[in-house]
Amino acid sequence: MSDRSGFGLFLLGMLCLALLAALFPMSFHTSTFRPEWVCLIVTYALLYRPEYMGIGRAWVVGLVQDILEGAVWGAHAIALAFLAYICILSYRRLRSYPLYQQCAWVFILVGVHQIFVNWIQGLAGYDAPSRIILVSSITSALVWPMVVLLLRRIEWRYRL
Amino acid sequence: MLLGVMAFIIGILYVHTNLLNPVKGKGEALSSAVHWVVDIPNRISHWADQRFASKSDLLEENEALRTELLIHKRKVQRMAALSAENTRLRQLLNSADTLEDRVLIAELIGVSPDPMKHSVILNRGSNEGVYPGQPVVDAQGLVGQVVSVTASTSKVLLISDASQAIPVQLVRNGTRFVVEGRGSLFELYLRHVAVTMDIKEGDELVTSGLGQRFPVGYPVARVERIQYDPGRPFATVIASPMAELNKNRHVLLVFDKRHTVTQ
Repeated sequence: MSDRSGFGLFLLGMLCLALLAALFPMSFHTSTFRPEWVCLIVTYALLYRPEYMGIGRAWVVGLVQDILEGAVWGAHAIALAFLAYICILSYRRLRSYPLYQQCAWVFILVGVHQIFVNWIQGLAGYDAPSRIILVSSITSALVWPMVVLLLRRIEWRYRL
Repeated sequence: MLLGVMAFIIGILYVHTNLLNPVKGKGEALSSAVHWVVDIPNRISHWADQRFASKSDLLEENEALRTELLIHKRKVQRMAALSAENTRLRQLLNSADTLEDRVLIAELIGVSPDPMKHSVILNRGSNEGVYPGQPVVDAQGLVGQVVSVTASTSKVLLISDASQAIPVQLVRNGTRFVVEGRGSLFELYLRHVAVTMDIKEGDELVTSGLGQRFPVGYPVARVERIQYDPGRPFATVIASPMAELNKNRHVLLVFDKRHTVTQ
């Protein structure tokens, strides 16, 4: 990630923070509501700075998340790679949408991500009921505007 | 596409083979280190809670603990006599002696981020002699078993995890069952309970020690509801775990004599 603006470094930092947030210990009940932070940051990079994030990098990020979470290895990798593929096909259209419409799209994207994760986890017998997939997709969609506004603000402020 | 297939293949290898085992250990070590870092805010708030407790609160707590200690001391006095009597009777019956188990206190430093996977990470590892398969209990009952160990941490699979099943026994009449987790913290399921079985709501279940994994006699769960469906050969029996699976911060690792001898 050799660049003048330093966005690469910023993105790396945000991804680390997202991984920590994804691991932060909560009770099993509250962690049902946990937004998929890593997925949101990767989506943000894919939509607004696609030159920094691709299928390969998303895959690596997913694998790191699997290893840290102790999930079945490959679950988040396959999900984020697929998410990256959809986003690369459609980022031009997606980023021109107003925020509320983006939220609806993020709901779908995170939902697809969750279905893939659930599929691989299901191989090990940990298939979640659809309620859990829905709830975390909804909370992810709800925090999406916050993520976008905050990251855009920081980018503009420091000219990243 | 290729990456997707690769991820899928890794997933299959992870679940169905043990080719990845050496790498898995490295991953665990890394994961537990990060869990330790993530737990720092919780530790700070815990520390602050202890530091900034008011004097009257402390005195009150002290008083309550003293009372509790007194009650327990009285119970222990009777226990000593009873266990001596038990040993004598066992000798009369020529049966093997049950030995006292050695325990080690451990603290939770991480919780699985996936709500479906019920596992926690403890701050004790192989340096302290923790081994895979070791039973873990709290003050109320059985919590789970150790599934993997690094040098200074260990991962515990809770009894409520979907892949966990425990051989148990009804305290009231000694009937043996297998109780299994279904990924819910407050519900365990009893397998293959015939409709004619003598089982009631409120019955207590303890480990039977039959799986050679958990020691005999630790409380596991209490029967919560029984549903008889005429169309099915078995009754649906739901039990609630005794251990406070979602609240406890300190747990006990039990060292089984049998295991330490074979090691």
